[in-house]
Order: sequence, then structure tokens, then C-alpha cells
Amino acid sequence: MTAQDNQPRLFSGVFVRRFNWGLLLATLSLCVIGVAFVFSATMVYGDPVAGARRVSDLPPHLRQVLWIVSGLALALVLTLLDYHDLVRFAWFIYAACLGLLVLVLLIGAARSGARRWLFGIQPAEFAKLAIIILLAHRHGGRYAPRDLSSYLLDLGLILLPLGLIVRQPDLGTALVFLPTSLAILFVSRVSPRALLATVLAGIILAAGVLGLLLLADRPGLDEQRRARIERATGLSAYQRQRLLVYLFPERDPHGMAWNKRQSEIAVGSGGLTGKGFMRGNQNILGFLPRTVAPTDFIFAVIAEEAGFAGSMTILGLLGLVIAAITATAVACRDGTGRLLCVGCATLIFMHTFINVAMTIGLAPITGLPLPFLSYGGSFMWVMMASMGVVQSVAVHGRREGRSGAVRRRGRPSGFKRL
Amino acid sequence: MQSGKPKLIEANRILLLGALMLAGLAGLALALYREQVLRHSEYDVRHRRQSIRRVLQPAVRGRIFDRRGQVLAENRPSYCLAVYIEELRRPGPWRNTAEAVDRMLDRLAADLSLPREDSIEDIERHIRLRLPLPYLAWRDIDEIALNRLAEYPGELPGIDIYVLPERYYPLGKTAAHVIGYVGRDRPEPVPGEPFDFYMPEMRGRIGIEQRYDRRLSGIPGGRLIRVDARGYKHHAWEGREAIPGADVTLTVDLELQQVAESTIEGLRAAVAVLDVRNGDILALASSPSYDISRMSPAPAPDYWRELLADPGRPLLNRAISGTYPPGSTFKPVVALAALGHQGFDPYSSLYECAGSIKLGGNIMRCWRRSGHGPIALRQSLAQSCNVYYFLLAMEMGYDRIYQQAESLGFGFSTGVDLNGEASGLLPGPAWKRRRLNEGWWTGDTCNVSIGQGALLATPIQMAAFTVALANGGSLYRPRLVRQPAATDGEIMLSISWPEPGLQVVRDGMRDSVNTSAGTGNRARIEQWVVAGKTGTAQYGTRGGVHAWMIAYAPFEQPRYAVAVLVESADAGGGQVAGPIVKQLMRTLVQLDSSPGWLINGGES
Repeated sequence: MTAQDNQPRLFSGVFVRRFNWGLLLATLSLCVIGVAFVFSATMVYGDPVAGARRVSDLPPHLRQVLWIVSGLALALVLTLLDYHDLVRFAWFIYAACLGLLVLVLLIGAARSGARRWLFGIQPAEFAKLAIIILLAHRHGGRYAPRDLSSYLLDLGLILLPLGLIVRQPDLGTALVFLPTSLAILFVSRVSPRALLATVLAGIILAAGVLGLLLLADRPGLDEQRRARIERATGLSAYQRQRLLVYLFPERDPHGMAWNKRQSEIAVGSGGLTGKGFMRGNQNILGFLPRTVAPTDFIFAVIAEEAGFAGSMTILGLLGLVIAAITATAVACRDGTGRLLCVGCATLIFMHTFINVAMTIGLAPITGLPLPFLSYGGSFMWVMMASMGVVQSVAVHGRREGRSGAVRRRGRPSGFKRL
Repeated sequence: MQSGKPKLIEANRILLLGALMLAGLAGLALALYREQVLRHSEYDVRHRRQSIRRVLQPAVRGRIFDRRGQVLAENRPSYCLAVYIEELRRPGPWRNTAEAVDRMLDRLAADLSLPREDSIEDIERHIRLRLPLPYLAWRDIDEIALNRLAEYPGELPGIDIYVLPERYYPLGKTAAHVIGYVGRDRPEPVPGEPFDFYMPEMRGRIGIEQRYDRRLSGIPGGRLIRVDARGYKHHAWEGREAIPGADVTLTVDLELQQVAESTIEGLRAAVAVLDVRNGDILALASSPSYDISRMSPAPAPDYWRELLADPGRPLLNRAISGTYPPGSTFKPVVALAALGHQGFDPYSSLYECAGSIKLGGNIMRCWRRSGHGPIALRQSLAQSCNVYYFLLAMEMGYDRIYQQAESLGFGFSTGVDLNGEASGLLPGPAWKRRRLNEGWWTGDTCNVSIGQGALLATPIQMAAFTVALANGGSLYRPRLVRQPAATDGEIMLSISWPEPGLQVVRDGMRDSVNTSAGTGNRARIEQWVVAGKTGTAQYGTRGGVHAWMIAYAPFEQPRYAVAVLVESADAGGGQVAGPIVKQLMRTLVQLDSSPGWLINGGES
């Protein structure tokens, strides 16, 4: 029997039966809603540009459509590709992302104080997927190493890109990166005690840095001591400033505090059913700053114009996406596939949770996009790619795969049905 | 199956994680319920309360005073109806919003019985260029409309009353050409300037308003004001204060200006009165004048048409922009040119005037057909003998005259602080070659020597020359506004003449006014000894004349210089311009002894 026979072909019976249609439907609904509200949030800029020749001339909602369509194509390729083949390149993908993260620090383009863009893409977004694939690769096999040195290697593999992301600084992405990695470790057979110890150590470290930060921030401190304490935090002046503004948004009354208050008002004034499509005053009158309304604060636009009903629809669809991925994970008979799904689900959840909590003023303003809804290319592609990986798990994951020597002996025949 | 394969990733941990995540989303849903449903009314109030308006604070334009502090130009409040277009935003392209605003204004126009002053194109331009700013649909609305608006039934979202300072000229036609007027300026956005909407609204169009626009206009400010849905203003939280424009004090004296204007009322004429010691312009009149109080913010269309159609060309400032042959008032220039000429003695050099001379085939005449007989410099000026100057000019050559006239400012604008000044014309061989491709003939020299031919001068030039003659050779820049630090005048050119000769020229001009044979004896007054020179300049081919007179006084210690021009006069300079000079001099005598005179101007 050849590998060809095991590959469910596009729209073959097996493919159709195994494909996670619910997931596709939920993501597509979110994308359509996203385009509509990006349109609502950006039409304030003026009339669409007539006779646009380049992508950058297109109005934002059409660019978003372009990114969705290209993202869907990418997802389709990844669906057809057996994720076992993808996972074989885990180290290569990881190394490439690390390289890009280093490069972005060296030559990246800075926007509003942070160096995140490299040739129009944000490598940090792709690094999230890379760490999911790598950790799934390391822990998915039946014979995954369980000793302490392996665990420490895991931590190193997580902290290396994390450090580079914090350097940009992109604290929002870092805030997603860590829980996603830890969730994979949690589900895999890593010792719960080691995991707990790591989390505690992390909390103590964070509390220590925070404490030093607050100490240095105390008024009436003499400058030399302040400088010493500030050095001890190991953070740059800009990072310290950003952190303090997260903690005390009122220190940036025209920036973050403004965004926070306006976003709260937008959500709250939406009421049960909202003010109607393209009728959100907060959005139209520019109280929600127009630079962030279609991106990080798209949820505020939706909540204002579609009300509680709208925000519940969004949360419901995102919950459906997470549930569908979890179902695929459980249905999968292969550790690697399960871990890939767990990673992707956690990634989507963390983005959703932090973004929505930020919109209603429960979390610091970190600048995280909302999956499938926020305007932006890099993140849309990452989301579509993770959906492709999950579908690949759904389609190809009904049998066990092995990395390394086990795989080379030939694949066990795929289960025709569960 | 699963339990039999202990090394497979456990499904229950995955399910636990999934459940945790869904619980997290449920938590968010609860929080959203609280914010959007339970606390909705609270947020709704906050939302209604806030609506930002950018309120422009126009800079109050500086006032214009005469030298003794009388107001020549000031500001009055004008009520405007402003529309905040952003608050009336309609879905879809901006065209929809523009149409909605247009319809609303049509309705308002009917309700307030105000005719529309704008069109949808204006609204669209405003949306394109200055969206955050209020759109002023009506400016300067009257009290009746204001009251109707205050009692307007129903809500008027996005509408407010704006108070703009409007320029106001209390004196109407007085000193119109000096003051000028302002007009509404359509501001263009300045790329890169975050406050590009803080542009001055009014621009000086002409006169002092134009020349000193930057000093007068100041810098407008703006504020962001939060208003609620009904238009109540809450508090301003950001902005820039307007910086009012600086006042401008002119050197002109209003009383003297009014007298000067009354002396030439009904004529096409110009008067300039200058301070001999520093070039300050004490009066600058041009007739006919126009009413600048009807020119701002834009000239009334029928008034504007009337002004343009008027054959007297009231918009023309004859004192600085009108160019005329100076006639005999140019003779002192020729006399001064002769002073340094070898062999010329101002006392004893005589020329025989037989009433005319023959030059080639032409006969050049003196105004007195019978001739003056043998005549010296002093008498030639007093009696304005033409033949004397023909012979003198021919003897010394044209170059000397040309150089003398050039160093007295002929052919150049004087640099007075008004735009649109003419430079006149000082013809010479080079000019004639260039313009007419002809050589310079002796006849040309003779013509220029009596201020005729192609020679052209403005009244302000003649006044500036008179100042230099009276003060002994300092050609000042005539000025309407004194720089704060500069009490001394600005000397443009300096020239010195041999003292005895200069005295003869001055004596000749004194005799012109103070002897019975003098041409300017109609300008004679009792209090001061006035020195002057009349001119009757022929123009065209139909025998029309312009009447001129230049004069200064008091003779011993000159303080005031006067130049008077009457266009197309029906008699000579002495008869027409003489009495005008007399009236001006009488006023000056009065003012000179009145308390407070020249206090603002400094007593140099």
C-alpha cells in the first residue's frame, strides 16, 4: 500500500466526512462579520479610492478580503498537507522564525514606538505558530523524553523567542505566547509539579520586576538610587514607561486612558441591540481613535453598533471555534495532532480573552488583535494557517504518526473510520 | 482503547483545558452583560454627554489709529450660524452627508427667512479641507434671525452660534486709500501643520491692511469643547489661545487728512503732506475716494460695479499710483543740477527770455508771450520762466539734469509702505533708444527741463523731493507707519548742494509765493513764510493741463512739505493748486501750535 492511498483526497468521501465543517463555518462567519465592521470603522476615512492599482491603494475592508482569501488558500494547502510532514520541519520553522525575530530587531520598521514590522509582516505572529509546532513535535510522540534536562530545554526554547518579542517590545504577543506554550506542556506528559514550579517562579520573577518598577517610580527618590533600581529591572526606559502606563493608564490621558475610556463608553452605550450598522457615534465621530478602531478595538465597534446581541454572537462563534478544535483534538488518535490542536485553540482563546477584556477595561491595553475580525494581514494569515493545521489534523489525524525512526519504518494503515 | 495506550496524550486534560477556555468566554459574556445591559443607561449618558467640537477662536485683528490715537479701523462682533458636519455624519460616502446638510440648511433658510449664501459645493469643499471645523453657513446674521433661532421649535443637532470679529471702518471714505480694507480669505491647508485649521480668516486686500497684514492679523487659536447631544457645552480641555493682532498707529493725522480731503473734494486730485524732518506722511489724500466700510468682508456687488464703472476711478490711489508730468514743479530740480555746473553763478548768470526760442524748426514758448527779459535763477523760479530753463539745460547738458533727478528719486518708487506704488518715469537717451529707437534730441532736453516730455512723477515723489529740498538734501522714505524703535526717518539718498546756490533756489520759491509777480502767490499766508513752486503740466494733444504745486513751510525752519496735484484742471497750478496749499498751510499753522500735536510722532 502506498502513501497515496492513505491521503484523503480533496472532496473524497473520507475528506468530506473528516473535515471539520463546523470550524470552517464558524471562522468564515467571523471573517465576514470582520470585513463588515472594518468597513464600518474605516469608511469614516472617506470614500473608497477609485481606480486603485496597488494593494495599498485599496480601502481597508477590501484589503482585509484579500488577506482572508489568501489566508484561506494557505489554509487549504496546509489541510491537504499531512501535518506529520509539516511537523518534520518543526526545527527548521522554529529556526527561521528566530532568525526573523533577530532581523526585525536589527532592521525592522518601527511603528508607534515598537519595532515589529519586517517587509510588512510581523514575525512575532508567526513565531506563535512555530513554537506550537515545535512543542507538538517534541511532545507528540509516544517516546517523548520526560527528564528534567528535556524540560529545561523546552523552557529555553520558549524563552528564547519570548525574550526577542519582549525586546521589540510587544508585550501583548508575549502575553499570548507564554500561556499557549504552557498549555501544550500542561496537556503533554510533562510533570505537573515541574510545570507548577515554573509558573510560580515566573510569577515571583514578574512580581519582583514589578515591585522594583513601582519602587523606582515612587516620588521623592534620589536620582542615583532610582537609576540603580531601574537598572536592576533589566528593562529599557521605554519598556518601563509602557509597563507603568499599563498599570496606570491615566498617566497617558490622550493615549491609552483615552482609548480605554472611549472603548468602554462605546461598548456600554451599545446596549442590548446596538445603534445599528455604521451608526456608532463613538466610531464615526472618531472618539475611538481611527488608527485602532479597525484593528485592536474592532470588538468595541461591533459592541457599539450591534450591542450585546452582537458581542454574544462574536463570543459564541469564537467559543464554537474553540470547541470545534477541542473536538478535533479529542477525536485525533495521535499525540502530535492533539497538541497542535491544543496550541491553536489556546492561541485563539488567549487573543479573544485579552482583547475583549481590554475592550471593556478589564485588562491593560496591550494591542492584541481579535482572531478573524481585526484588520491586519500577518495575524489573519497566522490564524488561517492554524486553522489549516487543525483541519489537517482532522483529516489526517485518525491514525498515529511517529516522528523519527518509527516513521521511517512505514506508516500504519490509516483508520477508515473511528 | 485509549486506556490501553498509556503514552498517548490524555484526552481528559484536553477536555479540561477546553472547558476552562469556554468558562473564560462565559466570564467575558457575563462582564459584557453587566457593561452593555445592566450599566447601559450610565454609559449612554456618558456617551451623550460627549461630543467634541473644535471651536476656532479667531484672533482679533489689530486696530488702526491715526497719529493722535483716533480709531481708523476696528472690529465689531458678527454672529454666524455654524454647522458641525461631523456630528451629522450619514452612512456611506461623504456626498450623502453633504446632501443631508444641504437639505437641513434649505429648511433652516426657509424657517429663519434667511437666503442661502452657500451651495453644496461649499459644503463638500469644507468636508474635504476642514471637516473638524464648524461650517459657517451664514455670517453676520441679523437680530431677527438670531431671535428666531433662539426660539426655534425642536432640536437643532450640530448647530451653534459663532461670534466672529468683523472689520469695521467708522470713517467710511476718509483715508480710504491709506487704510485699505480686508477681505475673507479662503484658507488652504498647510501640510504638516497639525493646526492647519488655525488660519487667519481675514486678509488685508489693499492699503495698510494689506501691507501690515501679518502684524494686524495675529494668530488664531482653538479649543476642543465637549458638548452633549443638545449642544450644552461642558468643558474645554485642550487648546491654544488666540494671539490678538497688534495695533498699528499711522503717522497720518486724522484732522489734517480730513482737511486735505475736503480741499480736493469733487476733483480728481491728490495731496501729500510730509514731515520735512523725517519723511512721516501727515496726510495722503486721493480724490475721488470710496467707502471702505462697504468693502468688508466682501464688496457689495452693486457698489463694486459702480466703483469699477466710475470714470473718476475712485479705487486708484492717485497720490502713489497716479503718474503725471510734473511740469514746472520740476524746475527746482534743474536749478539744483545747475549749481555745480562750471561757470554757472546762481546770482549773476542771466538768460534773455524773449517769450520763445527757436529750436530747429520748432518754436518753444514761455508761458508769458512777451517774455521776461534778462532773468536770473531766483526770478526764473518765482515767475516760472520756461526760456530760462531751455537755455540753462542746453548749456549744461542733459546728463547733469538726469543725474540730479535720479538722486532725488525720480524714476524710482519712494518705498512708501503701501503696495501698488508707481515709479514714474525719468527718460534718458538709453530709455529713448530702447523704447522709441530714436536718439535724444535737444528738444527732449528742453522738454524735460520744464517737466514735460516723457517725464512722469507721482505726487508722493514730488512731496519726497520737496522734503529733500527743504531739509537740505536728505531724501527720506515717506512712511505711514513708524517702526517702534525708529524715531528718525529712513534716509534713502543724501545729496548736498553748495549753500549759496541752494539759498537762491529757496529764495526763488519763497518769492513765487510771497511776491505779487510770483505764480504761487495764492498760497500765501500771514503766519508763515511759505516757499513753493507751481506747475501747469500739459498732457495729451488737446491742451489739457494738470495743476501742480509743491511747497514747504515755515521758510526759516522747514517742518512741513506739501505736494498737490489736480488732474485735468481748468486753470494753471497757481490758480487751482495754490488755494489748496494755502488751506493746508493754514491748518498746519493751527495744528502746529495746538497742544499734543506730534506727541505720538515724537518731537525730533
